[in-house]
Amino acid sequence: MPAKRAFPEIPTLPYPPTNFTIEEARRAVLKVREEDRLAREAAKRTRSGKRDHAKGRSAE
Amino acid sequence: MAKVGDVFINCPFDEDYQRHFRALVFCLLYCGARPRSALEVDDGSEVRIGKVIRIIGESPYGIHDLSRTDPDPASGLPRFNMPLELGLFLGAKHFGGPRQRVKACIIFDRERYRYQRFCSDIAGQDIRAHGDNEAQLIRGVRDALRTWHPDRELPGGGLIHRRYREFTEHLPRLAAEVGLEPQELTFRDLLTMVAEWLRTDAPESVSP
Repeated sequence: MPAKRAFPEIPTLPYPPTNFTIEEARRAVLKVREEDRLAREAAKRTRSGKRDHAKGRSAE
Repeated sequence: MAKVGDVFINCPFDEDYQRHFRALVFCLLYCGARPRSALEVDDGSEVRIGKVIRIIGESPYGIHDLSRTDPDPASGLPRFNMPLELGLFLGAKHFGGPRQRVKACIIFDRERYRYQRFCSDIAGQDIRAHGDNEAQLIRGVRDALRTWHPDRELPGGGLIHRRYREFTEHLPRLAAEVGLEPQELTFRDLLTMVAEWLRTDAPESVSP
């Protein structure tokens, strides 16, 4: 397992975006990442729910 | 740690090449380099060749993809912008001042020795084949950056490619959030979106 190293620094961009602001891009990224996180958590809950259900049935 | 600096991307801008272009932009930003392109300024008062020369002059590094140097189906004539811009880059390195003479570049084609049939004068340069494959393109760019900056720790090509695929899977949603289709993103839009995506990316191990 390689050691954790410094993450390369993202450079300052030479120009702003054309069709939106940097702030809007940031909000878009954060929203999509948050939706992903919630979807992952929901999927995890579903999986563990199914496991519990299966365990319950086998105990019956 | 030394900054990687600006990298001039000399490639086709057609729709077929879009995924490769995104892969180049993503890889460069991931490695801390700044992608530069003739697409960055939409200024009708600056002639295209002048813009290209200015950006080449400002960029210590270049990526030149000759893979689309093919005859145009309609005219039967080859598309020669990429070899021309490669020539400008090599000319700047040869004839320019001390800052230009340290320029370095990577040249891609689809197959390793295809260029010999249309641009044999560049024999002796390091030409890499990407086989129209983004993973190979990313690996080639990453390895070139590592050669140019041996003091710099960079993520491995495989990791960058995985992260790139993750980004492209999310791109339609990211574009929709700002009211656009992915193909409507300009070069500057793409740079910003990739940079913001990477800024919120969880750090992972990187290889020397």
